[in-house]
Amino acid sequence: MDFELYGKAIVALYLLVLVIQTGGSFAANNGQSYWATKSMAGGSVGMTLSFGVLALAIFLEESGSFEGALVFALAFFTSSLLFLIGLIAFAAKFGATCRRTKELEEITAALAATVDAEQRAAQANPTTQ
Amino acid sequence: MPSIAFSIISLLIPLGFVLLLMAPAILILRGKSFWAAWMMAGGVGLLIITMVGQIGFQAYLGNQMAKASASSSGTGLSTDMDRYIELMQISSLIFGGLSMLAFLTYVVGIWGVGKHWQTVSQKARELENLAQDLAAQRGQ
Repeated sequence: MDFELYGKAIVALYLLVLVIQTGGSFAANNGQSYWATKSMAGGSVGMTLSFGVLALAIFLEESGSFEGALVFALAFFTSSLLFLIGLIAFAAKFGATCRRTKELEEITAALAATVDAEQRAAQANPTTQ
Repeated sequence: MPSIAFSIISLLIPLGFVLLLMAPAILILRGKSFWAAWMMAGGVGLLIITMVGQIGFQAYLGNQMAKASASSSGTGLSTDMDRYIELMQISSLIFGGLSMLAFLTYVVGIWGVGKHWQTVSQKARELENLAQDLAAQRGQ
């Protein structure tokens, strides 16, 4: 078994996962864009770029220096922290917005019914206006 | 004993990591239950299975190696070592692939949620305006 090749394939697939993550973050940012979606998008780009450099080093079989590994770890950790904070804040807002939408649907339905009834009553009995 | 403290910490770190990934999925599912949020939750589930499997396999392999080195008193270990190295390589490929699959599921879920966010935020804004309009009409 060629373990090195399989290992490289897994690294390449991780890179693909990060690219999909970046696409998803930008899809969220295309909706209502605010700090959390921007933090997600920025963190994703940082994660993809830093992991891309690492993957390139693995593919070219470049033995990295200690400083290089440290810089990679710091860059990847910072951007994944940025991404996670954005993701959690975004998820909280997403859930809250869904619940608010449900609430608003009920409110508008009730209001529309009341307004409709009042208008009909006013039409039937114009003197009361 | 430092070794117990170390093993507790080494279990707490992946647990905290998993909880951190689980939080967004639960927060979304609380508002709306749909396929993308369930995919995120499923990805975390697969990650937990992978982690538990890896820890279990490592414990098993370490145990086997300790047994082999005890029975052969160090002489027969070199012939067994190749087999253990190969087992470790295969297992790291399997668990690496599985965790990659778990993240893929999670990330596709994030994409679905992100796509959905456009519709949800727009609808919320429209409804907010509609409710204001209706309230203003009533107030006239």
